[in-house]
Amino acid sequence: MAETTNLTTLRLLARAFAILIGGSVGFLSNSTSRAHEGPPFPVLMDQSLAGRTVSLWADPDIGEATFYVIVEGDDVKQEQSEPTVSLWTEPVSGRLERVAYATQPHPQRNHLQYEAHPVFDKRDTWRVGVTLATDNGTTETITAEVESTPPGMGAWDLAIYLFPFALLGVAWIIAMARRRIALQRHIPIEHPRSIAASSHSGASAIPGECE
Amino acid sequence: MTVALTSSNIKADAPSPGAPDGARQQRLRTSFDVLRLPLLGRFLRWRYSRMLLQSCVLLLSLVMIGHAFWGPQLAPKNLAALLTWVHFRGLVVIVILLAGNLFCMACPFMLPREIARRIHAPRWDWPQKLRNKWPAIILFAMVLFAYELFDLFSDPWWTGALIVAYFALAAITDVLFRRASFCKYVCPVGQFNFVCSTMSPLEVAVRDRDVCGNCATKDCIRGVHQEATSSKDAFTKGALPLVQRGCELDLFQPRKRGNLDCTFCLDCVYACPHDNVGILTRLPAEELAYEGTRSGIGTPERRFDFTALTIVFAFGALLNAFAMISPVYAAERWIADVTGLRTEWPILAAIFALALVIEPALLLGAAASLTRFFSRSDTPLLSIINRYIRSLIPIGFGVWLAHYGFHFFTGLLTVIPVAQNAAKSTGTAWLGQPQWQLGGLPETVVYPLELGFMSLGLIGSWMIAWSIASQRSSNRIALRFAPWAALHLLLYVSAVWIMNQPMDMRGTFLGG
Repeated sequence: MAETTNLTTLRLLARAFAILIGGSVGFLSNSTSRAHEGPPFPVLMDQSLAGRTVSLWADPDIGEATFYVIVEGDDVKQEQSEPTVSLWTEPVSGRLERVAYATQPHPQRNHLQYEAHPVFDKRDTWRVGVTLATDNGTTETITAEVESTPPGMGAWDLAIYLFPFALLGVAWIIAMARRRIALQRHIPIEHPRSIAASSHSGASAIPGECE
Repeated sequence: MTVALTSSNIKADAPSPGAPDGARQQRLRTSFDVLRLPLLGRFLRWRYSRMLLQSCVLLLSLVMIGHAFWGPQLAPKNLAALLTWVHFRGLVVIVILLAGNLFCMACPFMLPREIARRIHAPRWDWPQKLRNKWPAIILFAMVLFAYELFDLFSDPWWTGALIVAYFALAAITDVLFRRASFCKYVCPVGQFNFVCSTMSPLEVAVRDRDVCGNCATKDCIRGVHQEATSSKDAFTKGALPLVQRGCELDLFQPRKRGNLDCTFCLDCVYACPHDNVGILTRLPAEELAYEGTRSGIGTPERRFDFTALTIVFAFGALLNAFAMISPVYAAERWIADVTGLRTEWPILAAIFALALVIEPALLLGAAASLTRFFSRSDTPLLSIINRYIRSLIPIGFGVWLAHYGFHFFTGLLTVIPVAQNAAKSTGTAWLGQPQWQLGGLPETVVYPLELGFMSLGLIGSWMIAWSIASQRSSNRIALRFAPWAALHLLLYVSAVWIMNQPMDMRGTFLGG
């Protein structure tokens, strides 16, 4: 009776797991626009620009991307006014016009951080320019190339990557069910106190026991 | 017949003639034993292996603290922020998944504590009323709260301050109180690791329980004292100097079940005079199907503090992931509009109260009510919740694994340029010029890993819930199981939805 129950459990859970993995692949492959966007990565690091140290971090997702311009320097917090930072993008192929974007400043500890949200229409290589203007009239631009992040994976990619997990899941279910069956067949219910009874000293003699 | 899963690979030997069934059970674990491995096993059995591991991690911690206070304050260029929030968190859950609670084994907080104890020996026992998980649960929730409120992810200075505070708290607690009071009752990271390690494939356990049955000294928990040199010494042996500690977390090996409260310190291995304790393989989550008394813990199914710990663990996983995506700002704005509040902490506190108290109370109460209805019993709802709550651990672990694994895998190699940059700041680039182009695995690979971890978590939760539902009666198992399965599915779908949202600044290095 118990063995039948366990086999039914096994079949039920294995079936549920297969449906789960299949459903996930089907659902998620149809929602590519919602693909998880990862952390920004450095495009330019510690470049000298208009007397400041500038870094550019990008999260170049198709649609609305996010770029962070980090301005560092010993005197950056003491300045009377923050430098003005702007950002522009254009496809390297020249198929679209250059578009400029304003940035929002976010002062941080010992550095300034600017955020911009350019729009990428499709997967392509883009030239990105960062222009920094200071109070004393210095204006300099630095450029870099970035590939916009492709959309999420198709059903087959997901299925391939999830296949090892499906195998693991099924193996885990089988192992747990077999363990239960084996225990039901061979091992009587073991109460922890039976060990205490068979030992030379009782439970109360064990320091720290709180049963 | 009611059978709970017990320790893995237990072989019942042939009964000896004449002996009663219960007494002649030879319980011998035939699992793979890591301590039997040629090199690794020998290293782990070496008495100073733990101290060596702790020294390495302590040295790294000191470098991190130095860099936190005196290094660059941009998180992606700072070792303290990067190693703490990207590599350490990711490694902890991955190592627990693949092996066991090895972080507690190599915990750097223990070395200063040992030194401090040599200067000032602890004199007090941990207060009886605090011998539960509540202090650690409160600290656990506070760390999660402070992480969101102060954006610790993006603040190296405060990250360094947190590490220093942790060292101080561990040292002060253990200088004042005997045994491993900090690990057992205070440390929030430890509690997180204990709960996670119920999913580990390794467990410190006895090899042959009959050897324990015939053991007269119980050194695994009492410790090994200096040999008596006179009859007077022999009479007061317990007062002789300790040459090898027993388990300071009060886990008596023959009655220990699973990894809860086990720091993998291996004191029991070194203390056992019969060489009967090993690091044995087992099925992940197997111990969650066990219902009953455990040494040093009592009966978790009757302890509401364990239930609360599991709630913070499982729902905190969702909350911590939710806080890195855009909708959290929408929720904050909505609360601000409704209440008129203009400071963040009460709004964040409201979100925490909703996610860690109100939502779990409603969901668990509903699942328990349905189970009680289908069981046609009058068991109190809290008792049902206490029994089934451990089925939330696998799905909670899956979400933590997906979340921390995402940061870890996508930022895997970033430690190289950051370390190179730190070395360069000393005057010479002795680690080479920073290779800033180094990142980690592409998201196209990491995303299926996230899904896979969470799916395995869901299936684990279902298996445990089924096991619990079938433990006391063979009738209506599916009906008792269904409400909990639905709850697990709801958590899974929520987690998948969260992982599919665009990550906001808060979830990145640059969050502010």
